[in-house]
Amino acid sequence: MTTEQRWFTVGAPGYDAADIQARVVRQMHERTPGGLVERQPATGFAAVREALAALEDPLEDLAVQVSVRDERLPIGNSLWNRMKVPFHQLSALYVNDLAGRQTVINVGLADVLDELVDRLETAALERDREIEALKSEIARLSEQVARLSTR
Amino acid sequence: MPPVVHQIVPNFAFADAVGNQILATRDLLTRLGCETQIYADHWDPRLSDLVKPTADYLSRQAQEHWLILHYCICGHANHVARETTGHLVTYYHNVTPARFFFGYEPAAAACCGQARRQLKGFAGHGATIAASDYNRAELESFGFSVKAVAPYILKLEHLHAGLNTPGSEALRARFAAPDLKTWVYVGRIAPNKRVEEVVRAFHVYHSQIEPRSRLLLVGSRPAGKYSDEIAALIARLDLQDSVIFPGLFPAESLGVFYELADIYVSLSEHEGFCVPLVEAMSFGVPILAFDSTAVPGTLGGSGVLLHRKEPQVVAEVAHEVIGNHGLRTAIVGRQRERLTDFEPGAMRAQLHKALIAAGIPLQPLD
Repeated sequence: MTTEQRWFTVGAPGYDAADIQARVVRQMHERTPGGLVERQPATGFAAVREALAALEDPLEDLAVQVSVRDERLPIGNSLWNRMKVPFHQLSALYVNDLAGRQTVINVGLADVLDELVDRLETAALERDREIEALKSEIARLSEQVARLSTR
Repeated sequence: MPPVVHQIVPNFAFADAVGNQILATRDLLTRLGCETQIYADHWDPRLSDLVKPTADYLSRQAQEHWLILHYCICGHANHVARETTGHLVTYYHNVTPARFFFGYEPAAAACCGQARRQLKGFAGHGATIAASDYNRAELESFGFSVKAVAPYILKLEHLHAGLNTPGSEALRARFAAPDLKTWVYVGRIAPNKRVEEVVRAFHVYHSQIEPRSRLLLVGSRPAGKYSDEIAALIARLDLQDSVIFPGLFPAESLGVFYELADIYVSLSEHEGFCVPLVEAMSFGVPILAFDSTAVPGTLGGSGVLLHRKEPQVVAEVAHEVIGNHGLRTAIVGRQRERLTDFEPGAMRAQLHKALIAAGIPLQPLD
């Protein structure tokens, strides 16, 4: 049984993980005939998609903040003259808050892109390894064919 | 003349892995006759007597001094350390990837993302020590040349010594339930720990396998969306009476919860070391942990390392470990062997060796 097939590794001298797994599978099927509720951790591009989806919340928050700011614009001139200093302070407060949120989003996006690049690099390395393995296999088979044809 | 070796960290927390390692390093440096001071941007009030603000370091730094930066999160301390006029040694505890906090704690996501990106700027800048082999591999992937690995110096004796204090007696009286099978998780309620998956797995165990059971989630529960989601999940699964949050406890009281545990369960997807695994080993509690990041390195072939974690799988494996006496004994035996690798004297010697490898001219350790 390879590690990929094994559901777990047990550090217990004298016990075989394959035997325990067989027992676990049997008990599980008895209890839940419908089978497993599949839940694998996000890997590869799924992790990137998950991270991007999670960025939607702060983006929505940002949109709400923009609409709140619009509703607080003053109406009359005299009122504006009296209000402009505190209003300026209020605007600065919101702008700072919005800038902060934008920074959070920028940092988040940068992190997702980092993750994406890492995944792409890993995928490229795996592909290279597969290509090398296939090349070796072709060379081996070609040799075999050559040997057979010379007989 | 022993060297002057200071330590700096963005956040000096009480009773967490980073804070404890800073204190253990301070003890070692003091024992070696070094002048030493801890600097931080923020700290827990219980540590106020031991720490000075980061800004104070700027006026005290000197070319011949050494500075150990504990790298774990973003902060001003990182910038100060990067620009120190002294010799820099970075001890890498790991930084949780930001993606775990998206949608839950935007500020934490930003801070972690920033810390991970800025970490790359420390490559080739001073010497680097990693807290685990996993951390070393991660640093090397960022282009670092790591001088040594020095795992945490764990004061497990504090956990055991505290078992007979009045405080622990009170906790035992409050939480003892010998007729219940007890799952225990110790750690912060944080998205990377995947606490929701522990709850889902426990739900299967509780509802389909062993109704006389409970789950103790021991640790800090920061207010926020993630904690709210966990609470909502517990309510939706009707587990309010069976999933308990006892709170955050210092080492002196924490041992009681390991003592009460039939199994320790961690389905975390990001750990730089995972101290609770070693604590569980010291109490003879069988461990069920998901195969991620530093977890297999810390388990070192002991415990049960899960390669998948659907709730039914976790629940059935937990049932097998709890119910099969022979298997449980064998697992605990192997864990006890592994525990000897974390003996504090050996860890202290390893840290001493690592600091020397990083260039600090320390005296020999007695």
